[in-house]
Amino acid sequence: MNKKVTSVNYSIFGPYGNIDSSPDNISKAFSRFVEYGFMPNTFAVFKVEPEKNTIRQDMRLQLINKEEHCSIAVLPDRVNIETDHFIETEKVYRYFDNLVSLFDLAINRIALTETLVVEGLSSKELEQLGNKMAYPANYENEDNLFEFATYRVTRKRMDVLNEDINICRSVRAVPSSNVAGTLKWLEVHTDINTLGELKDNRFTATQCRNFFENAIESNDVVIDYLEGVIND
Amino acid sequence: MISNSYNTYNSLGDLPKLLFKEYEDSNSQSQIYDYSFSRPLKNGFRSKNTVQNDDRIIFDDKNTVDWDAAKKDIFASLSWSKLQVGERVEAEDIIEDLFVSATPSGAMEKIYEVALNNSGNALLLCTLLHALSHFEYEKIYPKGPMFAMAMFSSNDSRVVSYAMKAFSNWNAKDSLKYANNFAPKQDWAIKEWNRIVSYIKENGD
Repeated sequence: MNKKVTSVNYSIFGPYGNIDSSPDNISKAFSRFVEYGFMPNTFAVFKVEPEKNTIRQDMRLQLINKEEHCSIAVLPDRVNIETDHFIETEKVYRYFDNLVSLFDLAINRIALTETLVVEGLSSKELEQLGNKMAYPANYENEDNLFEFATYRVTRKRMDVLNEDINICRSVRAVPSSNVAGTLKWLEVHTDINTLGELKDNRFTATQCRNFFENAIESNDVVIDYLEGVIND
Repeated sequence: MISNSYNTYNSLGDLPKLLFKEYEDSNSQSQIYDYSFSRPLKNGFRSKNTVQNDDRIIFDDKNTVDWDAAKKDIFASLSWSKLQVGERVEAEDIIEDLFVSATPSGAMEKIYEVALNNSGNALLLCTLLHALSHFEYEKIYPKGPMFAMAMFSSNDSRVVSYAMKAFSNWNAKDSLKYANNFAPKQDWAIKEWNRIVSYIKENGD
């Protein structure tokens, strides 16, 4: 079994609409992040304004580290650190800490999302996994199943923050077209976040680090489950 | 017209000094700026709706710009010996055609992407900075000055030189906003950069 992380997003949420891609913001951010190997960039965000019947294009600030396959995007409602692998939590903390002090960011929500593809399964593993997946019912004349997904949201206490968090996991599976009850591959998407209904500006960069460390640890349960299924 | 003396400044080792030859001579400053627009706009190299020898149709409309081919052409054109202050480089023609075939902002997006993906290629970076420095500031804004500012962080003095030259050639007060928080670090560059900034503050558009 080959587990391949294809994307990881470390996000903080808050009112960041005022941090645009002005020359001042770009040069300020670059001066802080050049030591970490980032280059400055801008990207377009389109905002639909139905009441005015217009679509507005906003240019937003981005920092890109090509070597680390990592980018930092400042969106109107969040800052994303986007990578294709898990990076050291200490680094994530340093990046957020720099942004918080640079732009005086308030943080009202934290999230970690990850997409993991499980591939390279042997035919036996495929069959074992396929047998454990809850296949959806077939509807009349719709029995040629070629993709299905499960989606679940749980809520649990995160001690380091002393509050509840949501854990959303969706598993998308592609069955084999050749052998019934076996899978070609599956994709596990995880979204761990603090509760969206709490809007106060209440987190520090240090709490973000604690959240990410804890979230990454808890993320292993899916892998443990999958491996357990295969090793049964 | 460019004074003949410019064509003689081609030693890369002299670049830091040579930049400021341009800068010190205010007449030359404007001459260089004009120079980039003094030639015929198209050289037939890669124009819109052009049928190439191999029957490829490139840049037939704004949505079908052949970026990969343009990138290859830029790489094929790279040469230290052709990169001389005051001299037009082939990349400039390619970029100019991209500005027409796509849009200046769309083209700058791609050019900057090429630079980011090849940040260790000093020749490419110098060539792009050199070429972009000859365009109107409004045309290459905002990626152009952002690119030049980012290149201040380069460890290669040639790249830093061409980045400073770009600011000098644009001679735009607005461009200095990019340098408010980030400037070259090397001793030789700081001195020259300060001179450029003073000049732009006093004489820039």
